[in-house]
Amino acid sequence: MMHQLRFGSMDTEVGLWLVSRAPGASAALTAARHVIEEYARALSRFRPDSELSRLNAAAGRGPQAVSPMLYEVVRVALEQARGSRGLFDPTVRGRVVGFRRVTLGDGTVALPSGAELDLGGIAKGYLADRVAEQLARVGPALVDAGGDMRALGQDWPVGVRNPLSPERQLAVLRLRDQAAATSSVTKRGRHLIDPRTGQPSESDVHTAVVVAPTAVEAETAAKAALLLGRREGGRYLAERGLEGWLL
Amino acid sequence: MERWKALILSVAVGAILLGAAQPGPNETGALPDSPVTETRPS
Repeated sequence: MMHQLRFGSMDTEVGLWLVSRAPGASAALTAARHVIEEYARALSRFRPDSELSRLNAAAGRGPQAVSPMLYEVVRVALEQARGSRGLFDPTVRGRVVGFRRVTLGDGTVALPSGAELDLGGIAKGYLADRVAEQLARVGPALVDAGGDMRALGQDWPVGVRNPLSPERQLAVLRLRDQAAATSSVTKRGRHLIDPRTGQPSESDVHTAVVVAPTAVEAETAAKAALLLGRREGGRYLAERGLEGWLL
Repeated sequence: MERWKALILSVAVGAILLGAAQPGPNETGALPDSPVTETRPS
């Protein structure tokens, strides 16, 4: 029996699918929704009272004690920033300060003056991974966090949205114990900023779709390959043994 | 058993079985062979 739950969170659409005959399957989806909503409240930069907003407001004031939840997402974001050689940078938003100046302490995060963390993209990947792993204890699971996918336990058919014609799908992926993410040069009318220059991306790629072991890796690699362009982006994915389409 | 009682009983059993076969809250009842969702710019 397949169970599903769709709802709006993190400023996007979230979908959860779980295959199980266990009596607690529906409750597992509800619990997963609560986890996502708790993270969304803490990590939103659109809510002035969110934990992330408070941390951003304290930039330049030294180490700030943060919850284990925010600490873990910042840690993952910085790890991905280092691994992508700065092509993904969680500090990019209008003003480029650079992830290398963000420091983690014992349960603390210190932001340099003028820095502002934007964890929107990486948090979706992180939650897709975390929630899918949690649901997979009950049965095969698929999590869609605003387009970032993590599929566990069985083959899950997942479409690839056509960037030029959103009502049509370019292809159907069969994901099993894998993840997929898509990155595009424009999102809701805003142009992707290249953290290397602080300027809008001049990539010759419009959209990058990447399949990786985890949604966090897929999210980072899609953004990095997109910014690098067709030739270097293809090399970036090949070096990491990842599959992708640069459109 | 009188005929009308047997009829009511069979309808009740049928309804219970039908209810058990129907998806409950959050259930779709079928495994997907076409995409349930799609990857898109996040």
